[in-house]
Amino acid sequence: MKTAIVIFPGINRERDMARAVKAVSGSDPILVWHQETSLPKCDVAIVPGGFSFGDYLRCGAIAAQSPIMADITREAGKGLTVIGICNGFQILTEARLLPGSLLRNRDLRFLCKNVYLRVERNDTRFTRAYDQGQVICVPIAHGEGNYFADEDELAKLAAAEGREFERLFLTYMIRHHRGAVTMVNRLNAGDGGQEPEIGVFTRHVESDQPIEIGRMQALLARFARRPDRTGVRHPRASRAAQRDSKFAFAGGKPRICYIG
Amino acid sequence: MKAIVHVMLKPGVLDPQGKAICHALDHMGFDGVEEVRQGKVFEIELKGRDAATAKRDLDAMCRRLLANTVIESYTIDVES
Repeated sequence: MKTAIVIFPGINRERDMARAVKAVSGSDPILVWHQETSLPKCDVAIVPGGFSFGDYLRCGAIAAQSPIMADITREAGKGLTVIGICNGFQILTEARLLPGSLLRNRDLRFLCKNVYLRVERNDTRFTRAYDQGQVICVPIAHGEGNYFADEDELAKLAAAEGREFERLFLTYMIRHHRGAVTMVNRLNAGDGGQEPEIGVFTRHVESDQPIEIGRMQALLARFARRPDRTGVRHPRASRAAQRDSKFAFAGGKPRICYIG
Repeated sequence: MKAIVHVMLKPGVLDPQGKAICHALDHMGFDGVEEVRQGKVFEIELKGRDAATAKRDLDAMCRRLLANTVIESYTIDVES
């Protein structure tokens, strides 16, 4: 994997990033100065943390206008993986490569601590080495890490991906069907199901549910193989039903988390 | 030609600095300060443009750099 690390004046975490890249990929990254007008050929471009341009005007605002940003934007549009960490994330929002904005922390305190995030989706390039639902520990150190997006942007992010709705639906429906099979097994083990209607019902469950479960597992496997399609909504669910269902399944409103 | 650009946070965007200033004013004994929101002022000296071109250029400067239009709005005043 070839990695480019983009540096602006005031960025100070590029060496940590280079060590991490070398440890994970085995190869040394290429360091790219912000005045360059094109990235080298690479698989991933990383904008690390620090205080680019002293955080003057707004964090990342001046860096976002650097010569290298035009090529990063172009290559990102062609599918290059780009990741921004901390000030890098601020730079990517200022460059409009990512939605929203980072405001001053609500309580005006600089926060320097570990935070625990739950991986809500592991079908993205950045999270596929994690398990679904895995809790990860991420250090933060910021004075302006208060993510803000207006109603339209939040709606787009939260309504994300009809594929995700489908995946959650299948996951929970499989559990639901397995639950039915379990209940029938327990009923039979306890000498239940003697009433004719119950007997017929349990036999249907025993024969049909494993078929349904098998079909859903095959669908899930197909989704896992297909690339992530963003912005596609479930064709049959209304927006409200989709959101409500996801909230019911996921146990709450999806939170927007970032590594900062 | 001189231009004054004011950049303010849009209504509804959290302004913790403004709140901190408001509390400080209250502690200092200034009654009835209901709200404070903090913005920025830029004084820009321009040359070689007429007023219309200046306004157009300043608008572009605001949209592209001086204001983050996700969270901020701006006004431009050009003095002849």
